[in-house]
Amino acid sequence: MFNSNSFYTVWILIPVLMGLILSGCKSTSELLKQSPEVETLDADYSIIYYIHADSDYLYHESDGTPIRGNSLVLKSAHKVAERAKSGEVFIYYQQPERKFLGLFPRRSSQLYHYLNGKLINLVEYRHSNKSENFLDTEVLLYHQYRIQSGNNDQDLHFLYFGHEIPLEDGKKYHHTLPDIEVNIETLSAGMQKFLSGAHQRFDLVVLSTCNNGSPAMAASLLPITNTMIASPQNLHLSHIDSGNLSLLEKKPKIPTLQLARSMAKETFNRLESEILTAITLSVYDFEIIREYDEELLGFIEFYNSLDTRQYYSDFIDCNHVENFDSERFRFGVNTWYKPARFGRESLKNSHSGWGCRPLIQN
Amino acid sequence: MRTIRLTITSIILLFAVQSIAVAQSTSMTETFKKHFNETVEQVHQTESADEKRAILNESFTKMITTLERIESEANLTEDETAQLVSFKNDISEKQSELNGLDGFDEIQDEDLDDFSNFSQDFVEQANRTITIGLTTALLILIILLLL
Repeated sequence: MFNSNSFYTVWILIPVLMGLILSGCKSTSELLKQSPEVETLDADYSIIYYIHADSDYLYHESDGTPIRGNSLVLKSAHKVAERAKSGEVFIYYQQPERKFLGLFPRRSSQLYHYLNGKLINLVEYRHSNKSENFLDTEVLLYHQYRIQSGNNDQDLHFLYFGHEIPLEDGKKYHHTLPDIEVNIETLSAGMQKFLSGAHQRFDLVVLSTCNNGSPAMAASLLPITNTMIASPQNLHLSHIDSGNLSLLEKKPKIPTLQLARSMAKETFNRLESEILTAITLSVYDFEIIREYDEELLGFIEFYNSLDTRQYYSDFIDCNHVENFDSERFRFGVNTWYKPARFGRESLKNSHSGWGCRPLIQN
Repeated sequence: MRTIRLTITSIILLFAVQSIAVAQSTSMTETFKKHFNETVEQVHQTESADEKRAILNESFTKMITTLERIESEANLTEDETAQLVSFKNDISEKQSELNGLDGFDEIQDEDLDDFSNFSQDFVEQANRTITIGLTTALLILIILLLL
């Protein structure tokens, strides 16, 4: 029944299968590792990009060209990283988890680690724990690869590109990792683990998502962030521009608020010429907002007590919600707004900069 | 030798089926985005305002009908149904605006290209993605093709 050819086939197949199984067991793989020169082991600032692609991110350019998987954001992140001659940049590109032949898990996500404009590490990784806390794997890689800079005044910026981060639940946010909960609370807890200690805060957090310029998101990030850019309403998938982060090279002493405003303005100007839906972008100065955090928390508590919120509807201006103190809550918020070309809100000419879920009308 | 070949072929087939099953899990919104992109291209290529209006109306009606059928025929959770209904209401609103219903002024003939772009921008915004199983995805494709 068996001849010598059969034995050779079996002896070739077994090691191949074993190799596949063993390679699938390891959750990371270094494709590139370069030891940085000793004199370059320092950085004036750090930038962390988290680009989510484990979901539907298809959109079409004006000529009908399809853009998939947040790929343009990844390209622009690489450009920023290459220009960051005195910075350290981490780019996490989280792609759908895949399996070779449907059985062996592949490392389909990537971490690109740049130091002083050079790519020094390229790591492929996967999430071995399918129900881990959000960002746990990314935090682990960050602490494994980051340089121990002697610069204590190093600025730290975090940019998140993805769909709306929900207020609660958030399972199925990752298409292929449905058990990882992604919501405002888990995002904040995950981001906190990137920080070196309780005293450190992110200088700038950019949320290139829909509907996250909300009181709830602000309250959640207040303890760990000084400035935030977010949209209180829908944001087209063409996303917030991060190109102006190169100002950190041109003007190293630039105040973070000024940097944030220039990024918001650049994005607004581009979107204004490209899309016809409403554009709302806000910069939140948390140094000022902390002065009225109790009032903000009071509003959130009141709002959460209402059981008439419409889930899955577009956010509205919080100004339309009872108990929203528009006079108080305008401090520390800069908003760029353009109404939609069509639709019921096309005549609205201003926005408070705060987004809330609409309430069901009685 | 024949037994070994049979075994190897069976293993390869098993792997292939597994791979296809994994790859086919899909997002419903992506299917609609592709469909509506074709609609926008057709609107832009057409000269007649009546035809543009007809193309848009047909596309909106197809999407609404498809969503209604999924709602009634697919086995969705309460949460998925809520997302579906919200999406359907938003598309209905666009159709009402196109035709000047529900308190809207009718979209002017010269604005129809812009309105198709506006509707596409809306469909492609970053707030939503409704993920569904392979059976429902096939259902959408079949309904969109047959209608």
